[in-house]
Amino acid sequence: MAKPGFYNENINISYPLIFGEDAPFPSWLIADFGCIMLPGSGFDADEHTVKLTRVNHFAWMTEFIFTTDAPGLLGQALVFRITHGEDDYTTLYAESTGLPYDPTDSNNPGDSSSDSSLCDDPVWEGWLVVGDVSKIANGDDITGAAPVEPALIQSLEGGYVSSLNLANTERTRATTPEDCRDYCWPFVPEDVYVRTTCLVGDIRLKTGYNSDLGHDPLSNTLTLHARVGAGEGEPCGDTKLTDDEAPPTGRTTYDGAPRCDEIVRSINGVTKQFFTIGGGSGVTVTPVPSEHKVIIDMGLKDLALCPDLSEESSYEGSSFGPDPCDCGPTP
Amino acid sequence: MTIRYPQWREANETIKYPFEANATLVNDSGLPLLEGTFLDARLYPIGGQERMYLSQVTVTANQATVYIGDEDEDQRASGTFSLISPPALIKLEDAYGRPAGVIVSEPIRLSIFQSWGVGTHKFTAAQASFVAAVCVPTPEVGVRGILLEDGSFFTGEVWLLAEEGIVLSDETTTIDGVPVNVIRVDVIGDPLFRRKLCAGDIGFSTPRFVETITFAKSSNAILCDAGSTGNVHIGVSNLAAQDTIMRIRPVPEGLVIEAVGEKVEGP
Repeated sequence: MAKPGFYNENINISYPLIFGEDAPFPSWLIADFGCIMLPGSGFDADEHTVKLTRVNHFAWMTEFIFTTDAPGLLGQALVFRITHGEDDYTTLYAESTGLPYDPTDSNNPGDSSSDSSLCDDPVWEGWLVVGDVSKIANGDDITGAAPVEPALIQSLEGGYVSSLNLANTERTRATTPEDCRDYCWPFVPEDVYVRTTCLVGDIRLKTGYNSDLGHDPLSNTLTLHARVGAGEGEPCGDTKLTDDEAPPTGRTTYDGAPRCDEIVRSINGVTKQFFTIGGGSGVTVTPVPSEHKVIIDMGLKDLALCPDLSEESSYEGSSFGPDPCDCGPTP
Repeated sequence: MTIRYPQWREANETIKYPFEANATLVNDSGLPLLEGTFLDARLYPIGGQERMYLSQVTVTANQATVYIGDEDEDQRASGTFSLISPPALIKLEDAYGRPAGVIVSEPIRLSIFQSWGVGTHKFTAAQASFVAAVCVPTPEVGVRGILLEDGSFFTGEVWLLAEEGIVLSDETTTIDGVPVNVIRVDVIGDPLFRRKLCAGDIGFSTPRFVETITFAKSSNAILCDAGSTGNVHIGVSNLAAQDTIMRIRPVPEGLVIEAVGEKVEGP
């Protein structure tokens, strides 16, 4: 008598389920099983298991539902479908779809969910060798929780770089003085701007402004340096963090700060951080800080000259417009 | 009585599996590794080569470490377990903590290592090779991880986050007709960052400069900006009078605006 084949033996034992914990699933349901946990699954062989939790029997086909307690795959399932009439020991393949398994929806098992993979790649793949299809075709729905032999689960969680994703943190943006209107940004400032996700395949690093890239093939090392004038040289303009970044209203820089040629750096050649305007003889200087105003009154006080100067009203006009994006005090 | 279809683990209890049938399971010191100590295995260290084997078992007072090697490296992966409370499964990891496989056993079976002397017990490939069926080739192709100078190791969906004056962007180019993703690194600086770093988030306010000076009298207002030189000049005009008495005098602290003339004699 010929020695029974591997599959033939397996439909008489619990394998690929752990013996003693396979009830209520009969041994002839499945002959073999294997799966791969990919990055994003969160699978840890010490803590997590894969279980056959349900067999759904329909008139024309039967579903095998495997679930896991790996955190990246909670609510998801690996669903294998065998059409009645196919051969015994047919091999089926399945992968997680990132959608939650709905046991009440026979048309959408494992086809709806929160994906733990940014790139919409499956994070769980597997294969199943069905057992005796004639018995399966006449079977019933079965619900249970039978763990799979741990040696049949290959974990690649943390095994490789599955994608590169780029983001830029917020630049330090200018703020307006207290009691002044805030800058109006033509986009929504965020702490982090996601530039792109899911860069896969061949990726090249390119030096931009002031950057230098070193490569040591012996140690397989890439080193990035910041060097003035390296790479593309020094930028002539501003570099955007995101495509839609723009200066706030009334400004020309992306961070909202004035450019060097947009500020008063000296008056009459005198440069001081705190500039003093003094009133000498015949002149009275009156500060009005709340209005950013200095009144210089050449009233000739203390002078012997006393011309008959006409009284003129002081300047009272205000240049603050109603536009909330214009410079001005807060209402 | 013979069981016609013994269960998977029961069938492996009395054979050398997951080791090869011709493995001696006895090391050079004569230390035997009993059949049935391990019931099953799946070995997939990244970069693993042919003929993986149990290369070493290091026993300490309260734990044991199992090492898996191959023809290129004798410590390709390892797994440590407690001898006081042995597990049913040994999880193997490589030097970077990446999963490298599992060895299936039972607590009572792993407790046999309690009887091994404290120290390092080595095996050769001829003594403890695993069967090919439990060794999964995992080529070390592509980028398997990103290692930083401080030892940090990154896998999976890796985020490159630029901050403090660095900007990352992506573009696509074509090389030999094949589209290639390009990551561009710009070092542009963040002019206000250093100030913020020194002042802290709470005490930081961006520096405010005088940007314009408006000269106003009555309803007339003239706005002067700094211009290309950054300098505003306030001068004395003599349009209204040839002999104006107004003087504007620069001093180290700023300007003094005054009128010249005889002062009132007073008490």
